[in-house]
Amino acid sequence: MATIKLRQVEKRFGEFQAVKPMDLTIDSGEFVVFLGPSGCGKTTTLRMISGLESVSTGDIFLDNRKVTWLRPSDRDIAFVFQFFALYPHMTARQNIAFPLQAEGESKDEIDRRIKEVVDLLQIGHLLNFRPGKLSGGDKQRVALARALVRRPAAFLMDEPLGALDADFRESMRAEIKRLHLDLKATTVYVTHDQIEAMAMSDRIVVMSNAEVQQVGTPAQVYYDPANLFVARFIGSPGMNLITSQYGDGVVRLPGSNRYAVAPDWRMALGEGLDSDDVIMGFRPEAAHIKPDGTLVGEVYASELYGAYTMLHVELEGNEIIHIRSDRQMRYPIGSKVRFDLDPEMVRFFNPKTEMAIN
Amino acid sequence: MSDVTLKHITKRFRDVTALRDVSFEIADGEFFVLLGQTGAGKTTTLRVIAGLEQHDEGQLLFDGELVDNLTPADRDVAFVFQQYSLYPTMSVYDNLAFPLRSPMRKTPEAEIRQRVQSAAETLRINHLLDRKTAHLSGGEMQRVSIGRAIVREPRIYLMDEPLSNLDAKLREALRVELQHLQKTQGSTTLFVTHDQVEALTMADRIGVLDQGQLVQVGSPDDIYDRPATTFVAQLVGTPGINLLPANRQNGSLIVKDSSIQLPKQSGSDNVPADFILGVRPEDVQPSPNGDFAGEVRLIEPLGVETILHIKSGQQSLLSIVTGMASWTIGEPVRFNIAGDRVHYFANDGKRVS
Repeated sequence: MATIKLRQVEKRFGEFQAVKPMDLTIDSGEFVVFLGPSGCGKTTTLRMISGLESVSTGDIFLDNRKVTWLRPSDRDIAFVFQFFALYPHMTARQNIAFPLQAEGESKDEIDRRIKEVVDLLQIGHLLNFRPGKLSGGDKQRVALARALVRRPAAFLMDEPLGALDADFRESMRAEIKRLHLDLKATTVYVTHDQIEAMAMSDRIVVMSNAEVQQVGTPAQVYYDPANLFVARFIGSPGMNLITSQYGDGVVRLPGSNRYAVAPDWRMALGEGLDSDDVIMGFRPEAAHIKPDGTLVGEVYASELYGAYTMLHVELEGNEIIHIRSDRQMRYPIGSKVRFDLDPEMVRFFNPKTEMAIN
Repeated sequence: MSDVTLKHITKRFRDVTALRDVSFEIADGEFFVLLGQTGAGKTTTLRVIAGLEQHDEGQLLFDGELVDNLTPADRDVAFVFQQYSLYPTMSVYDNLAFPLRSPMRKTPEAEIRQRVQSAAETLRINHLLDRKTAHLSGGEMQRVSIGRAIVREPRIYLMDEPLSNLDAKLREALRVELQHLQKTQGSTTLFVTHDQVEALTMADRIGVLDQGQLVQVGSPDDIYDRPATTFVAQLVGTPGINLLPANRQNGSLIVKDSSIQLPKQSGSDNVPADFILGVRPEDVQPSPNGDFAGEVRLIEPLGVETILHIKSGQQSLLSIVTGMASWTIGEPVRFNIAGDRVHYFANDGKRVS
């Protein structure tokens, strides 16, 4: 399988910069997800890797072979689209066979390769149906089979689960990941769904405004977001971020709440801040409700998620934060709650640069 | 606000029965969510209550009085749709004032001003009042749509998937706002959705609709902890409940083709010899000395928690563990199942308890 390398790859449409120059190396066998809101440049980047879109500047390498100006069909890459893109007048089998016939493979070879993917995806019972007779998930399986049968050096997937409903999406998500573990094919996967990105990827490339915000493992982008955008975008709900003041080892939240920072943060905060202004961040599970907690707020709303409760707590100064708590914990709206923060999970950001302080 | 009662409502469209003998009550001040898949009859129920559809059988009552023959206008309900139906050339203020200025209501301008201000404050859109609605974001537009419903103080709010066109973050934020608003104003609300998270998180009570029939009505806890059928059990909770084929031998509960064997539980006496065992993923917990053996097949880290796919014999089950646990694929795992939290279903899908 192939290594994919982007060197200063940029895309402009006239005056509009769709992708700012980016560098990225995707290892052979790696599953990398491009994650971001619509319009962030993730699909454009994927299309440049595939050759469906030309680069404005920069180079793309596949296994150290420069493919920047090769046609899509010469790049040995398979593309799986969001919309199933199956030929409606062909059976599933004919759809899967199509790329092999186009390459002039022998009938025996085609039969053998089809059997291989059919066994892998367990779609033997679907082969004689036309796409119109298949469910959304089965169509997606057939589309995957058609991509797999070519044994490409890399897979590019553009929101392949976007059109499926929620529970289907979950099971297909696991299936694609399982498949990846079996095949170890280099995969680049585009989505706007942070849960999908976290669940599936080896590494996530978070994009916003045509720019890479952070490249990291799911644990890195979750626990140590590089900036405010990543902190907000990853997690459901995202990280709690409170604009505060800092001085002498104490964070002064709006109103009377105070938080004493752990000693090892003091130096970093001293160096990373250029005024008293700081943004304090923590994930909803980092707050623990306790009768003698040092921070205080008022319950704004409380949501049961089945396995747990998400409390929305209004702090003095109208800031609403989210606290994940046991499902047995029920609080009426307006009641006071006290809580402490797990010091290991508190993060700080410079409000001017929006970057994390380390 | 009013309470609403549906008694044996049936609605047919030619030979399709969209609603079949649907009965439920929404108490005054209650947030009632109808949950179901596309085509379950959710929107038809809303339209029947609003008077936009006439039901074929049954009765509809507001505050104990029959409203079957009242026109939509006389029923005095407020609708919030999935698609924001705002006037793009009007300001936010005029959009909010519009329902109050209708010739039927003839509200004095001073009162209109006061009500618009108060609604705008509640929904945190007072800074947008002079803006044309065409220039608003999706989330702001939906706030204005909700605002247009709440300026009026109708007898009941009917909301038809109002959040489903918004992106995930906005949906989360507006869900919290809606719940806060409804609880603090005590308004009677019927909210329709296909999204189980919206139902669990916002509702006082949930009615689950399937193919025109009401399958279960209960609090979010009831629906989650005591689902009436496997259909309901699968509809709520992410990731979904584990449903495992099982049988009962000498009181023990044995999951077929696996190492899972639970001792007799209180409440398992009425379980048939062949049945379906339901286990929520949070009730499957790895533990070094766990009772059952399996193998980790897949790991899905979500940040706050991790979904483990465990294979035990021929059965696959999901487990949710806290944090970003470090597991490797293929490693053996021992786990426990919270025996007091399992669900029993007959093979026809009905709950046994």
